[in-house]
Amino acid sequence: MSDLQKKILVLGLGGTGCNTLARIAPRAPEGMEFSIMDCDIQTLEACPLEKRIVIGKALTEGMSTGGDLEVGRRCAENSAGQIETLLNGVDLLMVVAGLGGGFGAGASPVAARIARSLGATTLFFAVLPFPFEGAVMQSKAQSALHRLRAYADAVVQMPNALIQPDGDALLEESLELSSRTLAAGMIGLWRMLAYTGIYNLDFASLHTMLHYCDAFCRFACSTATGEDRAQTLIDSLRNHPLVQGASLFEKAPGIIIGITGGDDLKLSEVQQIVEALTPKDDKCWIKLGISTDPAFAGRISAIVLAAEAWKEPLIDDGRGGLRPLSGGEKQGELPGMLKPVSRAFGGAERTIWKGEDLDVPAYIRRKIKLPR
Amino acid sequence: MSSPFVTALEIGTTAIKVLMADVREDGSFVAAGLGECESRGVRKGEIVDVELALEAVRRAMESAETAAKKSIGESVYLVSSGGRAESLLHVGGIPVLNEYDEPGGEISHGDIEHALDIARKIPLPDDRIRLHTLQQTFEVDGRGGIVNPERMLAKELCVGILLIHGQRGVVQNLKKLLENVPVVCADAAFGGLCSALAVLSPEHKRAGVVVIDLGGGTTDYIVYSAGFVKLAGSLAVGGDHITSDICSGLNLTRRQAESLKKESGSAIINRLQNDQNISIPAEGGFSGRVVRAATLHTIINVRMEEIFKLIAEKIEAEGLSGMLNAGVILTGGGSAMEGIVDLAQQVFNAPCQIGRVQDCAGFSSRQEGSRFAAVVGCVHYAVSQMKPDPPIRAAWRKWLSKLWGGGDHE
Repeated sequence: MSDLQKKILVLGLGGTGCNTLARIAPRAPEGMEFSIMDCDIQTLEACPLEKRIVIGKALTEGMSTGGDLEVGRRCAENSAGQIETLLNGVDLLMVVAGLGGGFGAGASPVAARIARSLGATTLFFAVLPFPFEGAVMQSKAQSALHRLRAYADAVVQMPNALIQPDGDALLEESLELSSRTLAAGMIGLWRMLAYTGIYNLDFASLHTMLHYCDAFCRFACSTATGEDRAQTLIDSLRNHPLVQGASLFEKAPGIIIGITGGDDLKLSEVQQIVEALTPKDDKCWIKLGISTDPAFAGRISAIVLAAEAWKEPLIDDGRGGLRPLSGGEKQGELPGMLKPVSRAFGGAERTIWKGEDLDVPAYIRRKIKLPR
Repeated sequence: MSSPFVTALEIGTTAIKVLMADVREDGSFVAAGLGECESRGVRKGEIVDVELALEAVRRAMESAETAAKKSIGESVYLVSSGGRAESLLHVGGIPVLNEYDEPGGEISHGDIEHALDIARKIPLPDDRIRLHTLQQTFEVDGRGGIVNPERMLAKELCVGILLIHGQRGVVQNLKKLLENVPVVCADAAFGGLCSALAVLSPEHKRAGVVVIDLGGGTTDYIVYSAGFVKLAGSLAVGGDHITSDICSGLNLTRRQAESLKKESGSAIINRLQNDQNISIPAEGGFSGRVVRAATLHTIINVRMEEIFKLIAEKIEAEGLSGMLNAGVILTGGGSAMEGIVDLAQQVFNAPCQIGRVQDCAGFSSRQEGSRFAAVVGCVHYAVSQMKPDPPIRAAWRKWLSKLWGGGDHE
């Protein structure tokens, strides 16, 4: 890879993360980098990936956290230097972590914080426990999610219960399916960013999306073949287990669609897919990525990343959620808020310094996400 | 009049302040009458509504007159913080000639005047107006740092002049406003300079210091090094901006935002208060709310850090950042913000403190003194103008007075 290319790293945290990456890695295209991290040596040994990092040795002596979130957090804090070395120079960090366990839930916020301080954009795939694992586990996962949100640029929630095959599947089968879903998404995203497409989906647009989506987004991906492949693709995306109904696409304030097809990809198909998946109102921020690959002949594959509004109980003023973006402008986030500012200073001249309008709130210009 | 008294008036964005001071023989003075009134019709230190501003100025003057039990009289000294003041250094040099008009000779008083005259001739754009011309040290044959070069032998004499200039329209509007009050504007002084005069001791000035006046609509700064003003300026960003940032960031009314800022605001983000909530009472039809302290503090922190960084950038650009041994001194309403000292220390990497007024009696508390720093400094400035000046300064002053049109305050 050239220096200009952005460095993307996939990191597995804790038991769930390690196992999932072990399943994903064999499918991954060449050049995709993986790394796993845990305090439990046993888990790491069981994983075929090469880049393994044992942390928190002093604390747990190579044992697991025993489901204690606080131990997980301390392990990560103690080994902050190791994590920093690993993340140095990374531009996009994709993390897979199970939030039901001790290490995944405890170390994720720490890793996200370190990544942010090093300037990396972080995208978390948070695997949530099954409902039968008990309320304690659920609430632990929710509180981890809450803290993760403060540091990560975006969190994709992956409730285990939703990604299950129909009927009476074998355990191995259902785990395989959930890994496959995750793998397809990650690889699709990675492919979009790593290869230059006809309609290029670049790192910056993803960054814009993650920046504005207020931490939570959903993703869906699918592949279709055959006669009516565009329609099949749309249907399967809409019925994707993580989407929970097509209404998400209709309400999404921001959406990224990446389409990969063979040389036989038609414009009409692209149009059909995009029109079907994007909201009808004009306020939605849409970014398209289209690339063709001879290997996809006869197939068409799409990945959709849709922003989701976050409902915070404390702030019900509508500001806690995602605002529709009017284009990719950096100040488009608050279309209605800009006017009162100019009114706020009477008829006085705007204060412009080095091309920046200092009358606009500093946190907007600095793109700082306010803690809520 | 047995003891002369001076009236200083500051037309700020949040408040209009009047100080009537009895000047003693040693140059110190007693605050005889203080007047303060909420400012209206002023934004970013500029007048946007003449009628409202006029009324507020009259009200502030009346309250000062009531406190002092005498009339303000005819003239006042004006503190001008608006007008996007900036400073400009200009160096002028002359060859020194001996009595046979050959190069190399004793520097005479005339030579000094001549060098100063040349240095002062700085062309300014039409929309700018001179506020102060401050003399720097002399340079004799390339040797700098000389305070009085008279009777030295040299071939060349150079002197720098630091010119503080503001926007003509803004300053003239302020003066026009005073004509309507009606009072005569004896002189106008830059707010940053006034604050510095009020809070700095000669030691501070020698050690090198930056004074930052955190006002409502503007932030004025002035940098001293080795006893001389090296840089000054004004940013049209101030406490009002913080309030409006809070308004838009938390969806509050201006009033709610203003009181939230004053009561719970902090310029640093305290990790201990991260999960603390602040409740805002319902008011005037707007329902009450609960906001997170972390959100509020982040909004303020980002804005204040930006203001400090802009000033630090300017100081850095002039190569003065290593010379601020006495650090940073904060004045103005913004200095009452919690954590502001810590933030300034972080940004400037220098010690920081809140300024205290010097050589002025008559305030009921130290805080009150700090709040009135700019007007106190303005009185200091006026007093320095009244003193029988040493010859060089007298010449300057005469020239200055000419500039301001009314030099008749003897």
